[in-house]
Amino acid sequence: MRNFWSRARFFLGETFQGFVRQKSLTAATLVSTAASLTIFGIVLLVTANVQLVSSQLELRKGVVAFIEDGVSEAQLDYMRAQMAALPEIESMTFVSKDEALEQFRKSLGQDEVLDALGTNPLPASFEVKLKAGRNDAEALERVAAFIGNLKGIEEVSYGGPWALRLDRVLRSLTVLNIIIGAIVGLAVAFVVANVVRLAVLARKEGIAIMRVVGATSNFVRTPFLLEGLFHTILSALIALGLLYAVHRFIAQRLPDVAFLSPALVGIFFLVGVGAGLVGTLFTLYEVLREEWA
Amino acid sequence: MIRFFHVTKTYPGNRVALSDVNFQIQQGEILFVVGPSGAGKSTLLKMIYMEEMPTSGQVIVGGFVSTTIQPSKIPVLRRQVGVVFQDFRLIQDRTAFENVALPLRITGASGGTELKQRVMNALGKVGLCHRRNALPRELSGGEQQRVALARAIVNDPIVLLADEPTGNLDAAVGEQIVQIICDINAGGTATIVATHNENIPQKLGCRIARINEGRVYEPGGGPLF
Repeated sequence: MRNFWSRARFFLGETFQGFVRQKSLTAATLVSTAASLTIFGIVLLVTANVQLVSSQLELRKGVVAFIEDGVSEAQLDYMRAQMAALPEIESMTFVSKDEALEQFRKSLGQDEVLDALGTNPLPASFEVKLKAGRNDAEALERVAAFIGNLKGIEEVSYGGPWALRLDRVLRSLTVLNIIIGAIVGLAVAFVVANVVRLAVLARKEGIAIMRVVGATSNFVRTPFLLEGLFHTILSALIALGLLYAVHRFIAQRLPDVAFLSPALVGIFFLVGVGAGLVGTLFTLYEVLREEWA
Repeated sequence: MIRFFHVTKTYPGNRVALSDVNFQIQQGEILFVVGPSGAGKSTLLKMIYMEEMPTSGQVIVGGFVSTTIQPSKIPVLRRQVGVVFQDFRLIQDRTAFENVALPLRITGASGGTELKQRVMNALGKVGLCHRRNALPRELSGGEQQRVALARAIVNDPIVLLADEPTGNLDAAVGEQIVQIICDINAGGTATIVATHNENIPQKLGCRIARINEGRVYEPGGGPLF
């Protein structure tokens, strides 16, 4: 165990020396890979927020049918029976005028405005929720049209067209994310591969000496592997920091803008560190071929 | 300990580096391989730590056999063989201490205090404890070769190989290096020294094998066996 830590300290020392030995190259690599990852992160951030808006709309992916004042109980039962027969409908909730007023009072957060009105201007309504998988734009339109034609329904409201548009935007953004992620990943892989290649070439003499005194392939490779890994982890952390700074700046003007979820941060790191690791391993295989055998 | 059985080494273009070489060396022995440049001295030494493999024949070092050794086992063999070169081959951005410590770090057999002790012990044998923090460029040629010797013996090898150890040194310093090598051999380490300078082993009265155009001879007879 003691010797494991001694060896670990040695490898870390070698890795750190590698960083310090090529200071300007290290700095240039960190800047370029962090910049690339930041761009990827911004696209992820935009996608995450569009997804958030879309999912909030998702909750409202149903129809609200406002009921005329003075409709009888029998008529309400008739409407319920008609709507229940539709295969697309998952549930419907009746919201009375009083309940609507109470909801509005809560969202407003104050009573003075409502008290000043004197009467309750809000209609009763049916909140109709469509089944998942059957709530596309056409289904929404069909259900809304049917309900709108029922006697006693004053107005029907649904966010279908906007939800559909947002879905299309979201799909495009997802594709864009994948493309940009791939490009950024390739860029990071190439940059890190180049840094590791230069590090190996600079240490060719030392590597030959290590081989003569009995170093195994893994012993020779490990410091370079660590160097590549640290490059990408550091770049990813710098990019994440930059991203957070950008988010804080935007959030001052748009407070509802969310940062990346833990899952997206994970994806972000996976792309950055994964690409760097691939670049490192590829270079080590190519440049240290005889050690790889 | 070390045995060469009908070893031949031919490079591309039909260049014969070694031709039907047979010899052996036992524990504690010292052998000087004497010959001109290009005679095959370095190739012979490389076969012992298996940087080169015979085209035909067999090299046996300790329990390792050239015809059956796995590539993954070659580093294990090399940890038991200490090598010094004409050009010292120290890592330039490491101190004398770190250069000598390298084989110990590679084996991972010791760390911390034990590592320090073993390194200082090896540096002590070559008289350079006081220069442990010096970089190679701060050392003279003779001191660099002594550091290289310390590195070669720090792991208590079964054999010490020296390829023209005095080639880059003046006569007086060269004699010092040879003396240190003999002291190491006196401690029980089998030693093979490749040199073009026949005066050195003659002065010491050591066993000599002559090598010329890839063939190895011992004085007074035909090819060595």
